[in-house]
Amino acid sequence: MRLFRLCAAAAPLMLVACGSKSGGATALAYYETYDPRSLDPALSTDVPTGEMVSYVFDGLTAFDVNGRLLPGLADRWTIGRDGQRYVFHLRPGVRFHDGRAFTAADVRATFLRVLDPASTGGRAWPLYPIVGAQAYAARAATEVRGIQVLGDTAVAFDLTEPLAIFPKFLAMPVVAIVPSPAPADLAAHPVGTGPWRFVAWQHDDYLLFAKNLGYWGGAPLADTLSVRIIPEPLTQAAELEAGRLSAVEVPFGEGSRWRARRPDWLQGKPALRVTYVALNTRRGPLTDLRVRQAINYAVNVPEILRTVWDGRGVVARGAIPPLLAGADTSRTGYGFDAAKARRLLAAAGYPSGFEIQLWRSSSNVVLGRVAQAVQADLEKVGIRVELVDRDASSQRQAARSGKADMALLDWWADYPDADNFLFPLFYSGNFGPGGNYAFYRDAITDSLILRARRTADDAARTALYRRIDERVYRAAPWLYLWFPVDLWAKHPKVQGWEFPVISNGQRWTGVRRLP
Amino acid sequence: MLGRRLLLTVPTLFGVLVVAFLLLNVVPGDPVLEMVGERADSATIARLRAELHLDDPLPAQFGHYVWAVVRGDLGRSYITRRPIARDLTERFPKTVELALAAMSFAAVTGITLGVLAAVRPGGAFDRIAMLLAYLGVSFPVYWVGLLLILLFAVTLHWLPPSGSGGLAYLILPAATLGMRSLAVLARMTRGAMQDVLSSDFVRTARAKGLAELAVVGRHALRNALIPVITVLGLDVGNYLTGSLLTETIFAWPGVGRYVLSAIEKRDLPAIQGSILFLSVVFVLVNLLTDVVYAKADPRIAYD
Repeated sequence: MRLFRLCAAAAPLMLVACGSKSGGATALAYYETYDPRSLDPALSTDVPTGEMVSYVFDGLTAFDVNGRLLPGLADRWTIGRDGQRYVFHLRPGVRFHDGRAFTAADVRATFLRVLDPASTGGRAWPLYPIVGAQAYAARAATEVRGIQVLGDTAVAFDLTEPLAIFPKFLAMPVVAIVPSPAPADLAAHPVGTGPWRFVAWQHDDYLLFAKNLGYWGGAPLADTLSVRIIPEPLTQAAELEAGRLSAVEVPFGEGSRWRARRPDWLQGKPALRVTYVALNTRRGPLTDLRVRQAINYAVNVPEILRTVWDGRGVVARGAIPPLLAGADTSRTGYGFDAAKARRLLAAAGYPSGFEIQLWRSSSNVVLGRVAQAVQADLEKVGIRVELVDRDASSQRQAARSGKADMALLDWWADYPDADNFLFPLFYSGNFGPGGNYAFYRDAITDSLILRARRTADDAARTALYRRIDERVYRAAPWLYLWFPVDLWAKHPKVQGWEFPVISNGQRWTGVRRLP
Repeated sequence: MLGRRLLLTVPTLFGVLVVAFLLLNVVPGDPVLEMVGERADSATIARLRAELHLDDPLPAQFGHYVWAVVRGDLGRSYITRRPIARDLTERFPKTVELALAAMSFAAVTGITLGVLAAVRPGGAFDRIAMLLAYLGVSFPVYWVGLLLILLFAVTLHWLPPSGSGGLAYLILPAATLGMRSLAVLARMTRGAMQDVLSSDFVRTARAKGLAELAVVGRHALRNALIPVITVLGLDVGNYLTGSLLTETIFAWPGVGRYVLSAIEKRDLPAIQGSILFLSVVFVLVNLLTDVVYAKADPRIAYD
């Protein structure tokens, strides 16, 4: 123990480096696997940046740990009868960390800044539904007509068409509100309205935040929140066991050890994520529906999930994760049936199978093993799979450009809504770069997806999602694998923490650490 | 002499410059797509290509590149948009700190083990020390690092598992990083000591009645250290260019991790800049070692 006291002497680092051991009862410690790209919301295209942004900034709306939509800097909003005009009423009396008052003008300035091509965030799409936004982003207009500031306390958005999920877009980190004019070094010294004030950032080492005493939602219970940058999962777990991190994801392959040794530390929850093999419906044998269905029958998904994936998942019989409205967990799946797969292949004219490529990313070791298991199962029905190993970006690029027959992928939600799993992945307008790596095109699916987007009534929308998911599932543009269940461990001295299904859903305000 | 050696480093560094530059052009895929991530529009992509001179002819691109490097500008990271030169100079002191600690640990422990083993060859201590040295060379760094964390941080709670800060944070990564050198040095010292201990001048020293400690410590060790210093000198360059594995396991914020994450994210300017920076460090350190070595041993001269 002596050395711990020794390290407590390094005063400025104390809270971070010596964390919970000597930092006192009110210090929380979290981690990221890699250094955030930036602390500027406009650049938040990666998870670490999005999470840090959610500590320092607020959006007009927000998500809770289960992905439910909450009011944020807007305490309420109204929707015009046509579903195309949204008026957001802003919370009064909110101030930025530097003391400036938050007004509707900041909202407009923030959105223009995100859309401005000079900001090159590359991810302004949550604002594209606003009239004139795309033209502004393309430098074809000098103003966004669809954004209207109504005095200091309200802002209205006119959309190009009704979009029921628009308020969810506004909870994404990229559109979190920054003060106007934005400080030049916002990326390094962020100033927001959020629950935590930025204190320090040592690259690849740690970030430090202190509680915002004047936070409109009530000041955080803990005094400080440090975020360590720790790339190695086993080191992350060691830090938790040493009591120096508040919570970590349990490393793959360590699940059974943790379940046996520390069952009371664990939390498991289905993630808003789906793991699948995109079957390029425009290439070779995969153009035939029967072949794609045969592939779904030929692979023993539950077995691969259990053996290769540590059992951390729910078999996917659709593309909508179980936590989201529209998911149908009772759907009859393809199931494992090699004989049926062979019959379908014969009927499609491939009685002796065929040769095909499966692209996998060499940077994800566990997914790489899944690819091998899929290869082995398909081999048994005569489909000879060649595995193509590439780094993640080359693999994605091949899938995008339609050069890959099959690609093993996972899709993470940007916003917690079934639309985020149907529109990018199956709408024909999103071929390739948009997310539709199967190049699946079906006129009825397209029209149903668009109809769902325009449907304001939640129940009707949910029914549509279910119908679309069912329709696509039968057309088998994917080899459906599973919805991962994330396994996290929380230190027993930490109270009030639950792991979020969407990365910016846990803002650590209600979390405390017992002495 | 020094001037000539310095001059010789110029073509080496120019070669590195060319290789680093070509890297961007031979790697498959569009670097701009890496920058903007999923769902970017084509207008943004075209503008970024122009900004980065990616559409210029190759010689012109090389010209831009060399001119920037000469001014100390290694460009900006695609991902973070921070200047790469600043990123590297921020992290380099951390790498130096770890390197010095690992080398001191390896030198002190390795040489001590080697000397003690050589004093009584075949004895119990010799056998144990050489077994340890053997294992030290054979064990993978990753595995040893994690075991050290489990033992000293998780089980015994003596040391922090990872991170950087005071001395306590330096011990485990330095031991992990220095382990291999320690083992090599122990074996080298033992061999050299044995040679020296059986030589004529040592016999003379003993014959004139010197105490054993003086014989071993003053006469033998001094002569035995010459090859050992050579090995240590060769290691300096390797240490100073960062350790990918040790820095990753111990979350140590040095240049090794910077390079690794740049590779993982295909941050080509950052990879380019790191290669250039680390090559310069490597070349300069080796130059320095050569010079120091020549000063230490008058028999060595560079023509």
